[in-house]
Amino acid sequence: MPPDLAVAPRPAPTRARDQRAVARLLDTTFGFLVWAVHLLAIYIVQALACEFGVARPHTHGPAGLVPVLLLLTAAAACVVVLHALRRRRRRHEGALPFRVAVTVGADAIATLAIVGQCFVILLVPPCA
Amino acid sequence: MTTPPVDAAQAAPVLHPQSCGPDGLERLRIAWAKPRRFAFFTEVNNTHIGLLYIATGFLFFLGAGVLALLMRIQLAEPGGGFLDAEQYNQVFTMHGTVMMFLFAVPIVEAIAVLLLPSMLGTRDMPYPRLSALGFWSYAVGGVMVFASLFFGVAPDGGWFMYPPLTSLPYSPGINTDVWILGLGFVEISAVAAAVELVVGILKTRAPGMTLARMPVFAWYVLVTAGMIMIGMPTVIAADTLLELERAAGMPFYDATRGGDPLLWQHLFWLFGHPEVYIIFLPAAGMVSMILPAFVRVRLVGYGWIVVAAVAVGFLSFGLWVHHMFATGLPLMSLGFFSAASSAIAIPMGIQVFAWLATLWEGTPQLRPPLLFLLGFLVIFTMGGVTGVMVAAVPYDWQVHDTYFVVAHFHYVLIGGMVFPLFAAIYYWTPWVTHRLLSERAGRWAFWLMFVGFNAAFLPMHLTGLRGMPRRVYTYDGGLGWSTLNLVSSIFSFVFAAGVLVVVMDFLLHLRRPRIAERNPWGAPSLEWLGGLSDYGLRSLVSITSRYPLWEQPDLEEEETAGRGYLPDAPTREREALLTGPLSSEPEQILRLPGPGWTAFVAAVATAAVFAAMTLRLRVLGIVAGLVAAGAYGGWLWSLDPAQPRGLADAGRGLALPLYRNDTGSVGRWGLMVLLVSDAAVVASFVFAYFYLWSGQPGLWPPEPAALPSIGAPLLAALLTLGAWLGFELADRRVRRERGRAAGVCLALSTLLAAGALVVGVRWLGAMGVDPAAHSYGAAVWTLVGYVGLHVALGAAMALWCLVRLGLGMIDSWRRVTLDVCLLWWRFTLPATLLVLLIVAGFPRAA
Repeated sequence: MPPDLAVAPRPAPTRARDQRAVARLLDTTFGFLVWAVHLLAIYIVQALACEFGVARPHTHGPAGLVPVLLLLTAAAACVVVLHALRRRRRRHEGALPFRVAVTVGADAIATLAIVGQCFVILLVPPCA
Repeated sequence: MTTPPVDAAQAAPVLHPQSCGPDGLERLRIAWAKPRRFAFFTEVNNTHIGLLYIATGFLFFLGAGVLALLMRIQLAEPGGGFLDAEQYNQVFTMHGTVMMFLFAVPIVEAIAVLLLPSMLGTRDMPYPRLSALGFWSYAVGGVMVFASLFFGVAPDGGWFMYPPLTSLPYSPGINTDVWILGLGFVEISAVAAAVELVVGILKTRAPGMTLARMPVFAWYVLVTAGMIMIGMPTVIAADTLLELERAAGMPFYDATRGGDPLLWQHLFWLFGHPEVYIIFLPAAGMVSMILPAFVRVRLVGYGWIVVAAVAVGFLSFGLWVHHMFATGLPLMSLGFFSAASSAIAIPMGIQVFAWLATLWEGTPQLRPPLLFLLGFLVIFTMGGVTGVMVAAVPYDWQVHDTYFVVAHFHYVLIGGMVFPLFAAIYYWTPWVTHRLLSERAGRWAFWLMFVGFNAAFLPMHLTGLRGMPRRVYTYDGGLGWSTLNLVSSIFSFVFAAGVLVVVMDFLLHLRRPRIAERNPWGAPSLEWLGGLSDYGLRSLVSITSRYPLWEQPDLEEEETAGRGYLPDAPTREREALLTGPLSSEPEQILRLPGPGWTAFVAAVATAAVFAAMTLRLRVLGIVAGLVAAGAYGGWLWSLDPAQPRGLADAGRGLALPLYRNDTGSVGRWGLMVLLVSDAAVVASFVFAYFYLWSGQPGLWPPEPAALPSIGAPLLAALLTLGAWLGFELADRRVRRERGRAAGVCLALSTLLAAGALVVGVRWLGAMGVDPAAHSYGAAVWTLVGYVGLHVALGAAMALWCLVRLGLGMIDSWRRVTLDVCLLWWRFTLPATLLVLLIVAGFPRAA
């Protein structure tokens, strides 16, 4: 019998980090959840607004929206960059940095997707 | 977790000591050996089921390929008379249906079922019987659907089955029912496999295989299985509504009675577009696994590839409307989905660049698997470029429903999935059969397929741009399509010849001598540590690297000497090691079910029920239903068997429990994942309700007098709340060893749930809404009926637990059954309250 099997088996220690594993896994996809909520929201709101005649059908989106969009884009970019820096500082801490890295990457792609969808508002009249 | 306190456990003798000697190996062999008789039907091991799954999927691929050739013969010349219009409709519908539902999705799941346990370093996935049920359901259901061709009743409404074409007035035969019921059954099996894969990946990885070290294929499969969990239920919901319209006259898609055919398109493409990525992602996973072996370097950008896979998993659900650009939706809506369609090019590009960078970094060895991968990169990238073109709304309007689109999606699907699949066949065949396929034949096959494919499908872009529509069985000469079609037809046979070469090569290679090496490609991933065998690895090794066979030199010696975990089968049963989803530290020894008839009988009987429904054979349906109910009942009864409280030896000086009754139990995980799918069905029905309302906001309900009352739904809600509360209290009483009080709570829960059902049924009756008269009634009956089904099942579960409690099969230790049923109620309660609120409250607020 090899030496390590000769040792009396001991109980496995409790692993605190496996508690709430599903929530921790979903953390990494938070950016995409925001993207999904955003897409559904703009799609449904726009559809209802046109259905009930709330939106003006043939006018382009308000020009005042441009600074708002730019501001939101900059804010989202800052969040992603800050997370990336945080991940860089903690890159030697075992498995955590991997999840943080995935989260940052996912947030970056989700941000681009959200911003891309928002710019449609500037280009197309709502109910044409 | 209610395990014994550590001190007590340490004091108690450890159960089932392991041996890494020959006696341990012998016990392992006996526990995992196939049964001597009827193993073909009764074996549930992933190695057996995975191979059957792949073989069946490949046979469907060949069958659907023959259908494609029949179409190409018909279209080779103008005015062709090889098939008539009706036959052509059946052939193109079955080609698409079989390729998408019976080949592409099942075979990627099949490859995962076969390979993942070995890649993850486990003996099997947690629910082998569920895998077997999934396979047999798919095989029997698929054969029924395919066989309909030979009886002239094959589906003929296109693989997307748009109503009103598929509604009863325009498709009065059973062709559409064959599609709905047969594929509905197959879709359920896909969800079953997805549950197995999600829980398997998260709970049965080798010790030390953290998420960061997981084989990239497992990441892809995890994302894919998650997509199946969300995507398949929407098409199951759409199928259900279509069958309800056809069989019971409930007008969901009938515009004359308040329905809307576009509802089908929304639900179908909410599944249909992710379906493309469900097919592609596992293939991309195979590419990412095969590539390092042939360029001799690590995969470049592992983390980015994981991000890209997750991104595709999400973004693909935001593209469904790009199949509906020509349906008259507002321009801005189209813009949103056009933007999302372009956004998905980002993660797709990340993957392609990562593969190119890996090729650039290494020293490519042009063996047949790598040839197919290079073919994949070329063809898939071309398909991706035309994908970006059709994501632009104005361009899509120009080429919508033309052969340009046919060319585009064949470039994506054949390039993105079939070429990687053939690479996988050449790569993993030695792992399965311990024999190499022929290099020469592989090169012939590749070039025939590559040239044949491009010469067949590249001209179709031009055919489409010249205006040839899809799904026409013939065309006139003089339109500029004839030569292009002839070229496509000729080279489709060249492509088929390439496939035939692979088939012949595979059959012939079985006569060649076995090779000595375990790992002929020098691959880095764990499955190559041992070939295909019943029990997988001799002992389950610890992983410290993403590329264990390259970076852990002692691994093979450790594994074969039995110095890993579970070198034995001391309980004389099949076992797997469960590990933490994040930490991947050993948590439990899971006893797995062995061979048996349950899964096979349950699948065949359920298939017979679906067939009887299709053919309107009531007696057969009842008999088969009883058999199926008996099989499922017996299966459920066998779950949650008595397990000792002590800790068992897991090897390597570690003692683990044989049973968990907390949130980490695999039973609870399985239901949790399944409820995600269930929630998607509920969400689909809720979406249908609001979508139908949005088309006629002033007619909801169509007769103002039929406004739902408030009292009855309030009472039903209170009774449901009480039933849930009874279950919660029962659970607490059981934990405190107060079985009698728990029994009273369960009985109360059953009665209250039954009361909620009675109130609900009476409410629907008193509302006076005919579900066949208008879409409002149809939507209300469907929503209430679906949550009513949940409450009924909840009542049955309470009764079930009551019986088991009375027989001493539930106590403070053995209570996973109760816990799982409680989880059901924790889902049913909010779902019921939400539906009652919508049905009773929304018409008043609207």
